[in-house]
Amino acid sequence: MFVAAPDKLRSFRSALASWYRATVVELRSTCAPSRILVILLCGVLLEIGLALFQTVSAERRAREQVEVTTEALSLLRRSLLAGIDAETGERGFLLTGDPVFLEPYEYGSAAWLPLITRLQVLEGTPSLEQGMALARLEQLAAIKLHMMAQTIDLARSGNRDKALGLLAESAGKRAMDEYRAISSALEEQQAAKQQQANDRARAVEARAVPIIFMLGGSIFGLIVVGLWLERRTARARAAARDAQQLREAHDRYYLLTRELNHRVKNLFSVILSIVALSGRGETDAKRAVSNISSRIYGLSLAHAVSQGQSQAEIVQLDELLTALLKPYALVQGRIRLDGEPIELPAKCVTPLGLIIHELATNAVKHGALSVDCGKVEVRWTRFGHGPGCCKLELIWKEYNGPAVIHRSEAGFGSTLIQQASSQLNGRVEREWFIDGLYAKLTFHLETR
Amino acid sequence: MEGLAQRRVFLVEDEMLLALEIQYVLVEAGAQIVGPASRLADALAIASDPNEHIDVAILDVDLHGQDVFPAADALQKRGVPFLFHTGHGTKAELSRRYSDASVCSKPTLAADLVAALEDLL
Repeated sequence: MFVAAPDKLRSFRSALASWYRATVVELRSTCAPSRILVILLCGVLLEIGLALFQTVSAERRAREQVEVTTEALSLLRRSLLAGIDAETGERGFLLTGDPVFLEPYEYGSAAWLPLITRLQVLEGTPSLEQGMALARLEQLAAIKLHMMAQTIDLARSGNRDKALGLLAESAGKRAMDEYRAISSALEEQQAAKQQQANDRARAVEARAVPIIFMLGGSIFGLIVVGLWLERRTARARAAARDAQQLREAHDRYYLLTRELNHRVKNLFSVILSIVALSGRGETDAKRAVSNISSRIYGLSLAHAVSQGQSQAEIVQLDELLTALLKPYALVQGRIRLDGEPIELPAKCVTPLGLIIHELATNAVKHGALSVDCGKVEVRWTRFGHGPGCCKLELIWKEYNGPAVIHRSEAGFGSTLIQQASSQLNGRVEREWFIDGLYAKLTFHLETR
Repeated sequence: MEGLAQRRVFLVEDEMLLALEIQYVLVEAGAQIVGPASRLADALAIASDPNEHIDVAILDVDLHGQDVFPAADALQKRGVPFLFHTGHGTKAELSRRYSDASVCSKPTLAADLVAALEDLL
């Protein structure tokens, strides 16, 4: 066992070290003010509990002492009275010979010793001095009782003088005097004990009251600090939330800018191509410029529609057509649009815009819109619904046009229309009837 | 052979006006057009077809929302030089991924595009 002791000590030390690491170091490293606050609060509450417990138990002891003292004083007095009753009865009987006096004697002498015994039981484990005093009381009572019994026996048997002589020896009086002295000394002792208990209770109370006040004050302080910390945390959280929102707004802004930049670059490319392509094979500079500006204008109209959308990825077909055809004869009611609402992906805007623009300019130059009574009907139908793909069929039909003499199948406008429809992943069929062009554009819509 | 004359140029471009204009310019320079492809699936099919002879390629990066890179990888595997023609601000990234490829930012004049192609040959 002696050999094992250093091992035990070591393991105890390591356990202590790990506890220290786990609690104190951890606490210090996290150093959360609220955690420290909680620990402080617990300490304060413990201290208050202790102070209250001390006060209450001191007061309880004082109260118990009061009960014991009251009982002890009562027993002391009653035992003394029992003695006095017995003595009074004895004297009365001796003086008068009247047996009536024997009644208090009998009563007192019967009660006396049991009362002293009760007193001894009440004191439990008395001090040596007290124990001796009580024993002496019992002894004195026994002596006195014995003497009284003797005198009464003598008086009964007719030796009244002998009895009075025994009384005159005053041994009984001495015993009674000593009894009184001891009894009153014990009374004083009991009173002093009571006083001591009261003093102790008062002292503990005097110590506890300021502690309780102080601790109550610190609890209040801690609550205030806790509330302050809570508010600070809430503010920090709100600030973090704001920062998060700001970051998200910034990210959105960055993405938008990038997308816009991309679109602008693309648009410039398209415009350069329009200029280059429109100039190609055109010998008349005026006509070339007019073609170029009209195509770029058409493109700008188409893109204006895609800008107005709340979701930039979607364009309404009827809005797109209305915007594109406004410069022509839509307002005079010469172009009629007919079809269900269709949402187009924004990437369709350029090719569809160019196709419609080419059809419209051709109609104005050579087709139904070149004469006063000519009309155009644009009609579209969707085939297939639901997720995935559905097909869109758009028909451009001219009425009351001039007799077709100019079939531009091979010009740049035609190439443009063919290329644009293949960009839409669709195709265009064109037929020239007697009163105007019939064009059917079919392409697939990717719906989400 | 001088410049692009008789060369087979693979064109990948989803903006049809651009494709049209570039085709005109390339044909004028004497080149033969392979494609044009406007979708990744078509571009990838042509790029990985060993029977389709390609001397050099012009690749638009964003094809209807899809990146052209699988087709670029196929060309790189065949040892076909190519240039990226893009409106995205990703020049640095493209150079990192394809160190041999050159990059033309949109908009580029068609004549400059032809010159850049000739440099690759």
